[in-house]
Amino acid sequence: MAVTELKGFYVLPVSSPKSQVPHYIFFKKHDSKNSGSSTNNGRALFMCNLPVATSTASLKKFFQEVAIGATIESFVPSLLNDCPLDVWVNLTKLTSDLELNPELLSAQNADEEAAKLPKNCGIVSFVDKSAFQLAFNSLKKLSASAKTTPWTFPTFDSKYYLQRYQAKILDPEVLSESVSQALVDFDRAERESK
Amino acid sequence: NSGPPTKKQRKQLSAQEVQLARETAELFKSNIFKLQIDELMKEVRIKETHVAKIEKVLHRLHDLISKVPSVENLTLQQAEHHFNSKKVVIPFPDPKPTKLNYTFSYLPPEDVSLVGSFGLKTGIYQSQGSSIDIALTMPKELFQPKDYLNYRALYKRAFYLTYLSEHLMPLSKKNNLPIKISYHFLNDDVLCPVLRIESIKTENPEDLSFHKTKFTINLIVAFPFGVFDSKKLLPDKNCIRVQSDSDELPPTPFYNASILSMTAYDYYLKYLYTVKKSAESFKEACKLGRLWLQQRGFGSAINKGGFGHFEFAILMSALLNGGGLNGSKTLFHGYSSYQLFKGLIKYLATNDLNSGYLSFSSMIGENVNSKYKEDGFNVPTIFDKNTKLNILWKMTPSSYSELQYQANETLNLLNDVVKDRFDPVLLQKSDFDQMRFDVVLNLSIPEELSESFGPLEKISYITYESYLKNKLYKILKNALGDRAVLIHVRNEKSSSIFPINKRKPTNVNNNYIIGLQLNPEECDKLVTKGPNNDEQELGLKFRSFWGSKASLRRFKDGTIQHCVVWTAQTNEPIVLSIIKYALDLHLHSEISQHLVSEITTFTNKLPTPLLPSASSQVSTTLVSFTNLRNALESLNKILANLDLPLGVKSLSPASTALRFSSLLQPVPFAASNPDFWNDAVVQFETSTRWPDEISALEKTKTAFLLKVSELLNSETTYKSYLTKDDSITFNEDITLLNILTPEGYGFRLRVLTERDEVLYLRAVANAEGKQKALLQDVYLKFNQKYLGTVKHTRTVSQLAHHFHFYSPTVRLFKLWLDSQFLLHHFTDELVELLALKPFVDPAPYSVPHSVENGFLQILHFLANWNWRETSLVLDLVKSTALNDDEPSMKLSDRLTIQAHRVIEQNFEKIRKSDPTGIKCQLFVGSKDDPSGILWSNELDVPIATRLTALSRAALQLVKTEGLSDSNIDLLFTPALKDYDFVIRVKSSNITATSGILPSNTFKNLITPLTAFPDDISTQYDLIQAYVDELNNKFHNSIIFSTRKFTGLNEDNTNIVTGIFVPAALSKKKFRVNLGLDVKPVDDNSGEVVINKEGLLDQITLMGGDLVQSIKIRK
Repeated sequence: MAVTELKGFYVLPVSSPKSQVPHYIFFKKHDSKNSGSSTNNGRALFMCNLPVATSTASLKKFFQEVAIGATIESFVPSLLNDCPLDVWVNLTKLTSDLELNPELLSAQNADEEAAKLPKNCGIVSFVDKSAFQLAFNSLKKLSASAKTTPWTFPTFDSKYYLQRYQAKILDPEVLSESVSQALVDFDRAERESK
Repeated sequence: NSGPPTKKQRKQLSAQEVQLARETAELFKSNIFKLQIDELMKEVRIKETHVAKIEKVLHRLHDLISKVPSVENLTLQQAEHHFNSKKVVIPFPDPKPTKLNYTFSYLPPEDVSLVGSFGLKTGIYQSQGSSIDIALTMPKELFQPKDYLNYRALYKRAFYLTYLSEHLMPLSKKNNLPIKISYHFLNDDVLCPVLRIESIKTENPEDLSFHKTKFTINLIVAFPFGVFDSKKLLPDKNCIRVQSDSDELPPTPFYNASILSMTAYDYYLKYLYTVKKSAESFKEACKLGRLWLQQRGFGSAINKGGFGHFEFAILMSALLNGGGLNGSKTLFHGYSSYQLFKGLIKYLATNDLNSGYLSFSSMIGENVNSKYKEDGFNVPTIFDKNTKLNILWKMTPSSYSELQYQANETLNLLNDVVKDRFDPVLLQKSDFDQMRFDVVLNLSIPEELSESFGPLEKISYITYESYLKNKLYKILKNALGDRAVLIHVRNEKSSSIFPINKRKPTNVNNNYIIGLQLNPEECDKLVTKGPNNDEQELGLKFRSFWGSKASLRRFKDGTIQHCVVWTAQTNEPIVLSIIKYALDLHLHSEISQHLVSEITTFTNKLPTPLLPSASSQVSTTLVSFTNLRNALESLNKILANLDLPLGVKSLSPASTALRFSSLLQPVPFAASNPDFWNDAVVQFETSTRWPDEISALEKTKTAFLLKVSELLNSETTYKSYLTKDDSITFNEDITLLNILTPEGYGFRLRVLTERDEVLYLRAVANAEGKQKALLQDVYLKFNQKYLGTVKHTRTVSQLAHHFHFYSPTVRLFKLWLDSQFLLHHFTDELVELLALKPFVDPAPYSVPHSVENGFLQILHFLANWNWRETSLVLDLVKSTALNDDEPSMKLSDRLTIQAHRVIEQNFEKIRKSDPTGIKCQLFVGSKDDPSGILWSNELDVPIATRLTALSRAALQLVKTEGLSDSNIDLLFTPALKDYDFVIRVKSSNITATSGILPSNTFKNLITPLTAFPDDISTQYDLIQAYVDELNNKFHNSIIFSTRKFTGLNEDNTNIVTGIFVPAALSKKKFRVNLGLDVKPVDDNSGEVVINKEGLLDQITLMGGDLVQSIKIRK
């Protein structure tokens, strides 16, 4: 008998079309009372052990296949997915007491929810409760059947890795703008705190 | 007189105090040593049970000897026919006697006694077994006074020996002492065959077998003391008469000394015994001496240098009785064993017994002072006035200079007050040729050369081997001059033991090993300078030695000198060219073809840079590196003149190529080289206005870099752009300025301000709980990238200039690590520090002056480094000699005792919390990094363990199989079967764009690089990006390894290997933060286990078209 539930999590085996080896995703309803943000209360899924390079796009595609109509609003992956560490630390908080406008700070540092998520986890929010319910029920059904569901992986190839190198190069104009805005904000925050 | 001391008294007191303090320090050291010595003495003690057993054996043997019947007055013919030649043959020395007017006899020995170290009770346990010497003195009546001439005594002795063995064989069988008897040339002296007795293991319980004791017994036949007139056997006398055209026959020092020594075994035992009684620690000091000599490959045997335990003991005895110029005392009877040992080492190191000599008297009871005389005989000499024997008769000038050199190195170690040096002085073996010497050559001598060994040479040198060794040494010494500090020549002899039915060993070995220790200042000079033109006689000598290669040259200072000019050849050291030339000219016209050396094989392993000058370069050249440094200097000048809100104060080099240590030489426009981008740290003028928050601080730095970039792009021929830097975890706002210079180099600038360190330390202080350790790691990262690497680059650059062979050695070491997939696990800095070890602290070996020597010493260190229990503390200075008077070396550069202690304490602290080295493995401390973990913090146990294991395997291979081309290739071949899976990957061709001349291509078919491509990232190695990605995703479950330098592989392939982290493999309770790719265990236990197949699936998927195949270990 295949295991379909584990400590309150449902087990969802998926695999790429090219391979028969299953990968196991663990999911449950997202309980956000600890996270503080209540915007997506009751309409989010907490997913654990996501396959590599899970993105909003790959999730959208997946739910289109398994639960048509369950429209995704957002996907928040853990910051640790692309990092060899197990915990994320916000250096700004540890070096300064200033209340900085979170939107203008480095997007990743500001995203507290993403920073708190453990490695390979993510939160999928749906547009409304019914969309969530639809998705949740479909996944539960898939889990109970213990059958492997197809999962689309993005294409990795030489081009992908070349783009990674190229992505490190920063556009001077964009950079210049964001730097000056950040410094203006910092000045203001400093003035206000005095 | 109880008042305060007067001024004068105080002065005296302080002088006394200084003396006292000095003595206390010495005494303290002596005491520490004493404890270690006590411990050692326990370990080397011979087992009591073995001694009891062997005493029983000796008694029985003594009984057997007394049963041997006499025989008298046999003629030569009768003597030879007396024996069944199938069973036993008389080991007559060469030339074998043909017609004699005297007879042979055997009468019971005058005396049978234990001699040697077993008799003196100074023997030590040796794992390979040791021998016990018994001297049987032939009765006086068997000799005539003239028997010392023309081998007569030796012929008689040879008969005596054979007769004895012929009778001992049946006697021993009858008396339950199962033994095997062979002939053995005592100490390699062919004039002195002895009977070597070893035990045979039998089933019979009544048999007295002693094979377990590992002892063998030498039955030495001796002449009665004083039987010949010792004055006739002085070293300058001739005792072998041969026909010769010259009026006077040459002296026969070796023959004379051999005869004399055969009269004195028992005599010297008594002498040493008396000295031992008079000095309490004599015995222990002798054992130390024996150990010291043995570890360095010295022994009484000729092929071991002719200086062993016996010579050491005699020298010590002589020094207890004087030894100075006026007979002043060198050692005192009350000295501890440490003091005796050190005193003797100091004597050997500071007095020259080759140009001068030591004269002493072994007469017991008559205290004649030993005296050092400055005018010697240019042969190593310790002359016993009483016996007329030169104790050092088995030494050569070559072996003596080696002994002196070793004594000097040891003296430096003994004087070291900072580090405990007991291990390298006494416990470590240091007799491996390729690490003892910078260049090791094998020479096989062609047979026709023996024609030059005429009768006169024969009587002077006795053996062809001694004659050749001497000749080789003379030629090499003359040819190399100051280029070599040591020239070691020895015959690769297999054994001096041979069966008793042979007259002499049958297999003659014609192989000679030449070892050179080079003088780094001289060895690579292109010109060998001779005397001035006006010194006619010397000029003639010079020209006759160098032949057609000698020429006259006018030098810059106007002098006209004889000289020889050499041409540098790629990777072949000049000394090798010189040796080949000189040996061809003076030994045999084609001898250089018989000369084999692996020295170039190692340097040839280094990749050839794609540079026009590459073919004419020597391996130690730093030109390509200097070009890079010059380019940074030019950039620095430009930056300094830019119009910025804050001026550039400094630009500090901080990359491996900028400190002469990168695996590949810097080649312009070679953007695929993983070390293409050279880090440099920029500091602006001091300002108080840097933001007090880390993100804003980085943004401000970025603003500066943007400005610099804009100016460079608009006003200069430099191209620049900014990139995101993720080298410091959690700091997402760091940017770097990438600059491409018109010369074709890449620099990557990061900005350091006065605030950075404050902020990182504040983050550490504000962190709580588990976060604290994380933030300490963040601080370490910052320290590495901004502070540590700058200091490290400064130090290593200086040392690389001083130690000429450091740069090629560290590069070869990196190549080796890369070939074993290890390099990318280590920081460059850590690798460079490990490679510095033999250069700044080579004990028990010496500073290497060849790539081969340096490389093997690094491996040797790594193979033996027990990093769980010992730290590596490096004193990063140019010389470890204490009495170094080099003006550039300030005393303050050296690590003080306190600084050393602080580093050691840091290590102790780390090991207290992490005794088995789970978190921190390799601790490498120095004045640049007292923490010891700056560069090794992120290593894993499996990687550190693998480094040790691979070093051991490599050394094992070299030591057992030797250094052939195929073995060296094997050293650089990875063992793939050790990994859980192996992925073959293929990327685009980046060999040439890495700046490497592809192998098997002609240089002129490859165009040198002349420009950057439009997008430089198209030349990067995509495989590294793949591996980075794998590490980011699966770091918790798998250790990935690959070659960092894909361009070094043939046909653009590389290999990625993986090993599952052992801790990740066990079943676990399910948690969301496991961080591993898991699957449920099919037993409803609520447990999960790592999903191996799923993982491999994802890994393959992520490789896309890069992956060619994946092989999983079953």
